[in-house]
Amino acid sequence: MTSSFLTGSLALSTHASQRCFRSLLQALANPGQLVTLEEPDAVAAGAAVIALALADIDTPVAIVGDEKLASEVSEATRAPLVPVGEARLVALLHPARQLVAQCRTGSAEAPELGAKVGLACSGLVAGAGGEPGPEPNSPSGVTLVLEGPGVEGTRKVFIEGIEGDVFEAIATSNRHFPAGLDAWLVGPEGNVVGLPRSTRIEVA
Amino acid sequence: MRLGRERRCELLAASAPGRLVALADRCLEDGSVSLDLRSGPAVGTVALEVREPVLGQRFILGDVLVTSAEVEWRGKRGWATLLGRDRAAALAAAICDAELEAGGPLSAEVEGLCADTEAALRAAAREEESELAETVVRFEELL
Amino acid sequence: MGYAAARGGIDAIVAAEELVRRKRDEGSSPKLEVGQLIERLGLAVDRVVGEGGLWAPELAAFALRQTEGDVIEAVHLLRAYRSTLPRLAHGLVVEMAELEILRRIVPAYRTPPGPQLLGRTLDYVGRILDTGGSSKARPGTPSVGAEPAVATGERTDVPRLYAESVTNRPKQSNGAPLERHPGRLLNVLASMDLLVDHPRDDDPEPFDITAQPVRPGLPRSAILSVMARAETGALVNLWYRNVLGPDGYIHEVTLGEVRHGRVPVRVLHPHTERPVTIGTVRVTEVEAIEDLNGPDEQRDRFDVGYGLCFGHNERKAIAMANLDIAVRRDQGATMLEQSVIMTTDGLDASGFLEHLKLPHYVTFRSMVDRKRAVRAASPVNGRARTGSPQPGPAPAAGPVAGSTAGGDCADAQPAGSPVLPLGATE
Repeated sequence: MTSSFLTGSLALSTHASQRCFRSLLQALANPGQLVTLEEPDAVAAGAAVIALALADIDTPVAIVGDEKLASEVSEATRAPLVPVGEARLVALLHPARQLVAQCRTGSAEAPELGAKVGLACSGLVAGAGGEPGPEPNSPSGVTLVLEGPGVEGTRKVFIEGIEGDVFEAIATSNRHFPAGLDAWLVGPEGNVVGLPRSTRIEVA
Repeated sequence: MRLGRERRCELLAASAPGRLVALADRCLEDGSVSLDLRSGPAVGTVALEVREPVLGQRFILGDVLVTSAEVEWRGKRGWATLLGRDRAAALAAAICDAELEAGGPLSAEVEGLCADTEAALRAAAREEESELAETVVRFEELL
Repeated sequence: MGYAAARGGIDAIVAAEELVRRKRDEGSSPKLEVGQLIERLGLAVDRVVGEGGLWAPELAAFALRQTEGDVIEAVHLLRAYRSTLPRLAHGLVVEMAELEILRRIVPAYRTPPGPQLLGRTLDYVGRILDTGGSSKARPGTPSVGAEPAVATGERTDVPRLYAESVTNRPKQSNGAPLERHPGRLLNVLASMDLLVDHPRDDDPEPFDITAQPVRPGLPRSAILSVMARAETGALVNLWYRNVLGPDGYIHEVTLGEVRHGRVPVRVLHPHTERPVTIGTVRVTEVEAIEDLNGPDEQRDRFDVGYGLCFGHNERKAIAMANLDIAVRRDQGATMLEQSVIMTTDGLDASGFLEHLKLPHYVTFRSMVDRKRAVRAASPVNGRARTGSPQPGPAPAAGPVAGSTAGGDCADAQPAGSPVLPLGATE
């Protein structure tokens, strides 16, 4: 093992990465509730913010869909780039069912090995507080109905830019809880919604 | 005598934080150059790996708290990593490193700080050794 | 099922914390400075550093002050803090021949290579309580091995390294230079052909216990890492229990090397790719010589156990070295390896223990309900023990749950309601 240090220009400051961590945690603790990242550098990274804010030299990451961004994030965090199936942190810039299916889910004995996955979307509408969430406002998107821990009753999220079968793949990966993967939907302008593995997802 | 790059980093990392910060502040008084923060100053850890002598196996003893910074100054990269949590000292050491690398106007002072640190370390080592030497056991043979 | 969620207690928690804070930070004596802790209670700071698995004496001192001297709580703070930090690099491998000794004794052998160097220790003086009145403050008391007092936030003009050892006492050197990197007894035994030969053909990557969960069946590198940050008392107890106690798995070793000293922390310079020593850390190192006596062992040779931990903590390193060779000799025949891996971590053990203080109202109520269910289901309907005192008359038939006064559980379950199913959880 060799030593190496942060040298990239994309690197988040300590405080920026701490605030991102807090926001991402908040999103997972409140599935389907809109959380907004405020650090400009983090917002610019899109779904790769997962890796940029959370990875270090010992965290294997996969960033699929933009090789330049992948190498910049890797340079900034010193995180090694690996195939999706070996990554602890995954960013899918063009989410597809087959890619989600490759993400690690861990096992009942080792649920911590399940991947944390960022999914880029082009539109994201969700309630910011305890509201049940939006009604679909565009025919081109997908409406998810969420249920489970952290959700009172049900909550709806409206997404553009991700096919419905991606969410079916997530549900399939999470069918043997506590094994599974934890996902964040990352929309434009730093909008983030968490979909932890404990959340039951239905595509309406 | 011109110090090697690595030895300079070692001596800056070991230098008195107060002197480092004061010297870096004087470097920065040159308003014609802007300081580009490449990374940090970041507090993090370095994993300390050792090879034990019995089976020759490596293991991780633990982590060491460090602060690391990298700057661009006068067209040169300056880098510093030191033990403990001191962002100002790490940043200052990186600036001093670049000042000397670029041959800036305060190069001689950075070299002077390194020389002082080296002398202080040597004196401390001598002092330590003489203190310790008094505790060496000398056995008497009982016949 | 009668489960009533409840919340509250925040005001009480805040007030309780305030009671701690007031006495700790505003007592009648001057506030404790962390520099004092590092200088004067250095062994306590070293314990926190070692069990925390993070070389950060200044933060360990802050933690000790915050927890009013509770070492295990201080370790908890340090571990929690460490978990928020990025790993910036992996240090270059330290070969233990690089250890620069501050103290070194060889109990097994009077004339080892290099000195029997007592260094800074109270090992050989009487255990006589000094209440302050009779203490002779000798000038220039050696301060070797302490940390520089830079923790107060003031920027000192003393170099960061070795600031510890600068005292103003002029000293006479007595001739021969002090050997600071002496050879090991291990190598003396090897040269006498008295040591078991261990093949060294592979060099596996070490296991990282901070990144992967620790479970039985791990390589030795994981076991050594676990012991290096184990709770000192847990290691000592496990060692003692196995020597003198009911287990009797291991026997007493002879100590080859007991060393306290410094090792360098080296990383590669990001521009030149050559090593830079960014500082040093203090460690305690022990070699334990084992007299092999098993039927399948090389009885004409010795083997050696190894102990190494952050800071000055000889008790811990000795227990670790003894347990290292014991685990290797045991080869999984007993529970020893599992005990080392699963029961010596201070944070694991105390975390589990401390959680017992949290409200268990619901789990305990389900236990009460189960007792009642067992009684209700028994053929004599709970009246078998007629001699034992009963809190109230049990009905002749039907469910008995809720029919007797049940303390704070009774209000949640009306009389006559169905018995809770087994396995109810909170």
